[in-house]
Amino acid sequence: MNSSEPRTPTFDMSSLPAPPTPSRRLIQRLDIPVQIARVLLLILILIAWQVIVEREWVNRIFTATPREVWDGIYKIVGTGLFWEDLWVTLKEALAGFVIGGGAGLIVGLIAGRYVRFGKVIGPFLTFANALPKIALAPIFLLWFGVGEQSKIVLAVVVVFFIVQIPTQSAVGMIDPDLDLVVTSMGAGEFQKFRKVVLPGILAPVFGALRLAVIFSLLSVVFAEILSAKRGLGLRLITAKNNFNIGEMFAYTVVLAFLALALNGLVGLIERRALRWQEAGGGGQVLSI
Amino acid sequence: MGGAIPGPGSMPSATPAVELNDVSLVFGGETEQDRVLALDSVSLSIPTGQFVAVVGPSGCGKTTILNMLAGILKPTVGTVKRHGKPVTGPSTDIGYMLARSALAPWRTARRNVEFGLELRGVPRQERRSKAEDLLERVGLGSFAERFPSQLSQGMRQRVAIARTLAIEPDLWLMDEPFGALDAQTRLLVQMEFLELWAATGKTVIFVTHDLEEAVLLADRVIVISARPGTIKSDTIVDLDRPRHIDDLRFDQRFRDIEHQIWRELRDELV
Repeated sequence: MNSSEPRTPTFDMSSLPAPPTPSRRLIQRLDIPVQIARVLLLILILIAWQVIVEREWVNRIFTATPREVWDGIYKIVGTGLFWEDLWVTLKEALAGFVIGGGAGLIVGLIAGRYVRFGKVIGPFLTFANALPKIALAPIFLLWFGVGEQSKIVLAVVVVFFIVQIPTQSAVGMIDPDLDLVVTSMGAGEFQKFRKVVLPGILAPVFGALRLAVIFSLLSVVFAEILSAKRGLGLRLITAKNNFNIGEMFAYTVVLAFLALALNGLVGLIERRALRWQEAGGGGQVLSI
Repeated sequence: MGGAIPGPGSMPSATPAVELNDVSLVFGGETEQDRVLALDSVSLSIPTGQFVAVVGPSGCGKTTILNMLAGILKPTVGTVKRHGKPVTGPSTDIGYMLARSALAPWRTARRNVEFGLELRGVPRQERRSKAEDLLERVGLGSFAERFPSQLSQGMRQRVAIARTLAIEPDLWLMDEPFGALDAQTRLLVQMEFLELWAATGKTVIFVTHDLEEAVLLADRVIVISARPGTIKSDTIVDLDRPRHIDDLRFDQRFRDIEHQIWRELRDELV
């Protein structure tokens, strides 16, 4: 088929400039102007914040300057208590994420694959999802106490639906042609589950998991604010009740960074699991 | 390669590879009006090693025949047999190819080719070397570690051919396998496929909209009528093998056969 000899090209490829070195490529991908613009924007926001608070355009008693927030962070991070509270909140959020996400994944998979089962439990799930889940926090506090358990239960309930619904619809969108070909190659139901369904739903499910991990933290902190023995949410509401506004904002910022870290962790796993998706971009795209 | 391809009747005593006996198939059925007679009393016998093309208007039940042979659909009445045994469900010795390559996007070309072997529990080393060998044969030796999204349409369809070759099917069911390719790529992949097929000597049932393709590739062309599908005509394509289809397209004998079948087909396309 490829009978003709390869022709020697007239254009000399070696006349092109040398391709960039790895370090040079990294610099190109970082896109320095964007990074500089980002830093400048951050500085601008901090200055605006400082000015607005200092000039008392807002009520000074209820606000804090960036400097005061920074001092608050510096102070709380230095205490051993902070790290214990951080650990409690992190533990609760991760437990809620793993249990709720796992259950959502399993129910979504089964309900998506076995349509009749999905039809049976459909109305129940829709009703449960329609409940204002965050408003169940007081009930869970009554049932499971002010300890860690009530926080985890709330997170599980919130996370479950965030994962279950996209999982179920992703199962329904598996490429029917691939399903047909794999069936005709003699794959059993279990083999198809492992080799077609599971890898096939990974991309949309990871999108849901990123969201779920943040909502798990959110639920846990909310329940802690209501009533708790330990945790960052408790410290935040205590700081507020003591009119320690700088410290209150400090806890808020810490929680934001915690959410970013959790999101980043899921993103890291996602990038490992979905290497094939990045390959499609031709290696040019890198999102930071 | 090629040479003596058994035509119908040349091996009267052998059990046909594929046999449809008075097969009718009705789809739907909530209400009387909902029911659609897709196939109407189709009988067909295909000897081992024959390359059969099936043409007909859209919705005439061509794909339905393939799905019944693959064991995915059951006929409403009538029997479907392979090598004398009734088809009861999917079987590992069938290779199914579609217009879309239907590759798993999360697997590299090589691992897509390995898919069927993996399902059968072939050891890793063995299936790996077999897949690499097959990719070499379809001209994609250096693309083994690429993902489907990094390959062109034609390349993906070649991977699908390699994936089917890997399971060494005894019957190839092909549903417009080259329909999504541009004209030049199609010709190239057709030629490659003919060569690979000739080496295996397996039975092929090839559904297509393209009459030229049907006559160029097949030993026998079956025209299915508009719904409800029946066999309108059954023509032996008496052209020598190996066929050089790039030139054969301009051959007068080829043109005559194509024209003859076209007259049958034309009435069905309203």
